[in-house]
Amino acid sequence: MEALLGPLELLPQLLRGARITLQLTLLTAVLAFFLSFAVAFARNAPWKWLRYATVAYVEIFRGTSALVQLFFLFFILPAYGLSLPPMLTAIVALGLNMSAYGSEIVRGAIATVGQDQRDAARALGLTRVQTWRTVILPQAMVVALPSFGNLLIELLKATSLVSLITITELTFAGRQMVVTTGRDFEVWALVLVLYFAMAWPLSLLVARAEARAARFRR
Amino acid sequence: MSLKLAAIFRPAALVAAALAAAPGAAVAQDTLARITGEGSVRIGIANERPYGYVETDGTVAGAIPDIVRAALAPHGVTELEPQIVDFNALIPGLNADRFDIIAAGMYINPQRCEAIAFTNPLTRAGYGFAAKAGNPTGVHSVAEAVANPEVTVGTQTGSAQVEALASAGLPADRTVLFANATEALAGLRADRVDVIFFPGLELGALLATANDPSVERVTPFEQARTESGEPAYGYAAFGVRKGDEGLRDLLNTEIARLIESGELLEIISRYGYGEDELPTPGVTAESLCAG
Repeated sequence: MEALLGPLELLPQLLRGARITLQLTLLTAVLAFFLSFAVAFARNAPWKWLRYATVAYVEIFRGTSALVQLFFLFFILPAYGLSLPPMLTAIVALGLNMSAYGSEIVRGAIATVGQDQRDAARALGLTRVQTWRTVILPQAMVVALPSFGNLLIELLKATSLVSLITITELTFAGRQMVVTTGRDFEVWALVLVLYFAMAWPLSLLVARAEARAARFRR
Repeated sequence: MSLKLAAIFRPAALVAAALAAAPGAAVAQDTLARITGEGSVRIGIANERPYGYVETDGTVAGAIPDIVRAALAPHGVTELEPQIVDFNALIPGLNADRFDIIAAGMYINPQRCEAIAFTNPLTRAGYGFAAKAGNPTGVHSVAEAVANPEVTVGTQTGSAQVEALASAGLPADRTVLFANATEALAGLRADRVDVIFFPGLELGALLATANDPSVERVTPFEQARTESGEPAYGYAAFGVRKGDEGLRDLLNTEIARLIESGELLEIISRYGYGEDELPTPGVTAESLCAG
């Protein structure tokens, strides 16, 4: 009886952690998605200073550790008067970090749409906005989505970093349960299962989005 | 410097000056007035038994948070808001105003006194080893572990034990640092280290929770001695921000009262401490900060 009930009684606290992990993943994904496009567009902007700024943005947020970025935002900035609540800090830090990768995905995807198509669009009298909306972005999305899916799963797991800043997400909840119960095998096994249970539907979701984005090709 | 250069550097210098002046400004508000006004205090804990941890049902437990409760209740502060951080992040978190009191059983030592203010000690504790059943390497003191080049010792990063091991002469390549005690225990079980080195009380709580016959407390364990021949105890205290001396002084008065009345012993007894864990009379934050 004891053995059967054991793992189940660990579940409620871990599920609470898993909910935070999922919340954090989805909110960050939305922020990172839009930032990725914003940064990629800025990278194609006609102004040199803006292009340089985006290069710096990408290289800085991609080239430094996300863990250290979190630490900096949470523990160092308050000393300079900027104190964000933990959840917001996590979303901002992970969003900045992920968008640095994401913007490179978008940039690469945009580059796959050749100059010939842009020229053709202009020859047809499409405006700049129409060209982007109807020619470049639909094709770029098809290329970008598989990589975005990868990044989304990567983000789900990267949320475990935020235990550093007092947020009780899944990994932290697991560590907490090990301290209070000492049953490390069961706890970590459940944590693995829960991560997978979240990652799998996310993969399916992205696969569906890919199919949708490619519909125009049929 | 030419005029043009000066014009470029002036804003930069202003920003630098503003950045340099800003720390402290963020914590100008008086913490003592705030917590007594709100009736609640934010405490930083590292989720470690028996010091300060969160129960399965989410309530705050542990010897040190219970002492906070007893010390501040007479002043109308009845609510504890726990913030759980890695042990390493306790001092940064306190200084970033993420919480008001470190209630994690942190030991007073001179380096930490540079960064934060400590109250007078709440408890004292010796250290201990845990090893695989039967203690295969046969070490019974830190000195013996140092002397045997085959022995690796695990402990917690950022803790007082790291300094204790280093000053005993244990080389860095035989010191293995884990994030916390439960992970050190997992390391011991997985043969990543030969022994783990922790304050005796923490070790007791750790092994009791794990309830695993494959690991055991090393007995007898010979405590390290200070130069004067006394056992080298670690003294745990509350930590507060520098500048919150009002709060510290109030806590000191209350700690003295709780020790005097026997209430402190009663609290810590619930977590497996005994009379031997009461701080040595006359040992103060000041004397421990002086080294």
